[in-house]
Amino acid sequence: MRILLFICLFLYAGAAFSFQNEQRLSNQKEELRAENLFHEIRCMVCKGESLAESNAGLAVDMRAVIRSKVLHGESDVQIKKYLVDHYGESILQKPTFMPDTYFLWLAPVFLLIIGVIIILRIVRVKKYFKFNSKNGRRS
Amino acid sequence: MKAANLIPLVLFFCLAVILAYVTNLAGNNNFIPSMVGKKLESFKTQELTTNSLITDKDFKQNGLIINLFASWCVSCQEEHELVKDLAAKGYKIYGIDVADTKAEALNYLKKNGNPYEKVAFDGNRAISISLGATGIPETYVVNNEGVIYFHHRGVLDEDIIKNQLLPIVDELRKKTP
Repeated sequence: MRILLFICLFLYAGAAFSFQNEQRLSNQKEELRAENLFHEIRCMVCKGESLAESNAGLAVDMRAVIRSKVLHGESDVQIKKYLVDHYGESILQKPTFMPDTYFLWLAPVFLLIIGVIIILRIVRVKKYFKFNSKNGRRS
Repeated sequence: MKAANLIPLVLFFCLAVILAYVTNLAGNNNFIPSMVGKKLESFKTQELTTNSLITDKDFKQNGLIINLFASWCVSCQEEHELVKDLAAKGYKIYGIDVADTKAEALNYLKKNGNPYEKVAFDGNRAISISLGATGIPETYVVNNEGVIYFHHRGVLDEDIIKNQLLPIVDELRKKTP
């Protein structure tokens, strides 16, 4: 139990985001909208991180740009479109489902099917060998 | 049974072809598309040396080379001599000083030479982001309407300048005096 609590403490630390010391928007609703966007957008100089997690200079300045766009009343879709226009699909943490990304989204399904087929085949082959050895034949 | 042995090989080739197609390795520089064909967005900032106002309108010139740099950027120094060569040959180059302080930028230009006719100070990267820049150096060529004709991410080299940048600049400069 104590260990579990200890682990939970570490999980809690994940909630500390890099923009905590930044100038926030005075309107709580708008700030929340901007922060939600930070999670959906990739930092372009540190690809593993979202804007919300990154402390890179570009990420800091990009957060400011997004906040100002939110302040000017642009919708989430407009802001994302603007960023995709400038930096390409890869700036979105979750790529949109379109012809270019069909493979990306559907590959896991296909791989799963292939995996299941392979497993079934192996199992069947083993059964076959068992059957043969019972009948006194060499496999 | 022999045909079945080929299955992994066939699968591998299918995967290789698909991956080569979806990632388009040859055409994409780090998978980030270039800004060619898009237009400069409006901006307003200070000119680095004169502190006067400079806007996107100043950048709308046929065959103008726009070079993003900063005093803290190590790889910018790598291409700095090449950029100076271009200026010496009479090409018009405007700089954009990215995420810098004015004092350090001025110091940098004093020390390494200043190939830029004008420099827009972009302390908060607002202009860089509107140009779709990720890291610096980055180099653009525009026309008199602000349409981007050339965009290179990263350090310029002689080959890129001679075979990609200059043909575009020369073509655009023919259009107006």
